[in-house]
Amino acid sequence: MNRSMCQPNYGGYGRPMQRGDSCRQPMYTGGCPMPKPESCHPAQRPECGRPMPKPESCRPAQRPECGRPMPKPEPCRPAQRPECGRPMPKPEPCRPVREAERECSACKEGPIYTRSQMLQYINEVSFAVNDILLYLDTHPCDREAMKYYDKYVAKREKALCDFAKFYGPLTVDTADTAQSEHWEWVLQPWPWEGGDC
Amino acid sequence: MWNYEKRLQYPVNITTPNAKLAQFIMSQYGGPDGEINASLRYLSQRFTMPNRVAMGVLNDIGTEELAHLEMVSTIIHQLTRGLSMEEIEKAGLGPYYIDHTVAVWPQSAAGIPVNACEFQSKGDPVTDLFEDLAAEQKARSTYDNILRVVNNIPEIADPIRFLRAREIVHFQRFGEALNVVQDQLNSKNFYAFNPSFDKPAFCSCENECGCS
Repeated sequence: MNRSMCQPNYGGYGRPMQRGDSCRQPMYTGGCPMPKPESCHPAQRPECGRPMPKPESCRPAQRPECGRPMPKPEPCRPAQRPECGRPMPKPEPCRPVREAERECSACKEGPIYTRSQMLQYINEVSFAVNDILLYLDTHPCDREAMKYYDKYVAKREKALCDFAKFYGPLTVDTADTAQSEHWEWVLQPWPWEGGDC
Repeated sequence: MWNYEKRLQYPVNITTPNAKLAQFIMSQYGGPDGEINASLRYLSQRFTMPNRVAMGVLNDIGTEELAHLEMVSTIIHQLTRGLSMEEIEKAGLGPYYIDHTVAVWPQSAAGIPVNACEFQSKGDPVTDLFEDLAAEQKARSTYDNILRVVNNIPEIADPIRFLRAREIVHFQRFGEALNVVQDQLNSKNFYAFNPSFDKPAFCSCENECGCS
């Protein structure tokens, strides 16, 4: 029996792992792409003639999580900054994406979004994580997919943390007894109750 | 093991109870092709898969089916809370009410209690994965049947449509898992041996059992 008859047709959705595919791809060594040095336009920047500020170098060996391009140094515009002539401010260092996004915005004024708005957002980013999880299970060597996962899991973690601050925890891990008088996990609504609390 | 998140995978907010629809949708909870049977099927089959890709797919889809059974039981609960005795009787839900009031209990629309005879865990990965492909199609058909009845009620049809779309995606994933398993079998004869029994593949800490 020839093999193609045994194969259900999946409509070409995704590429199944082929024989010979190796999980041991070379490790991603992409360093930070160097920013293009800004060009000097004498018409706009009369102080042109000074040496261009050296863009901060990206050292992947020390900071392997650096995957984002270095922030462009802010240009010096004499019209707005008459003190041009001083050395350019050092661009903010590249912080690993997950750490930066993990900082929960401790908003002292109160929530910007309603409970349903935040829950809707959590449902959306969590669904992205859920779906890419299943895809990665059958495509464990797909690095693009892993980047997609990283992006959405960071958003999800931050959103879960923020939600817990204003509306009570959705997971046991985000239950923060220091933030509230009572055990909000049990006291806040359960998902099958429906309606807009 | 499982953690719990206090949210449904897709929101369910039904404002008007309906006994007849509750009885129909019950089949996706405790019926032959419902989410309870789906999750038990996949979570049972995962142990005898020959590689980690197949194990992972079954584990993770089985876990998502648990989230789906929670959605379906929420739909049933919201369709039955606040029902009057009259509505219950008129819809033919009288016998159910006698034994369960308006509680959620796993049975099919026809009243057959949830039953493991409706699924297999055969211990042969090719067999099991074909069973899973069929199971997803059976679930999709059941959702199609439900949608014909609830198409005009968005608060019920929306979560049902979501669940139906997920079944189709699961079908694709099981197909890919089947490919991975077959790629590791004798290409001249897939049925030469059962990799889960005749030549058991033990995944060790050294090899990943999913990439060759």
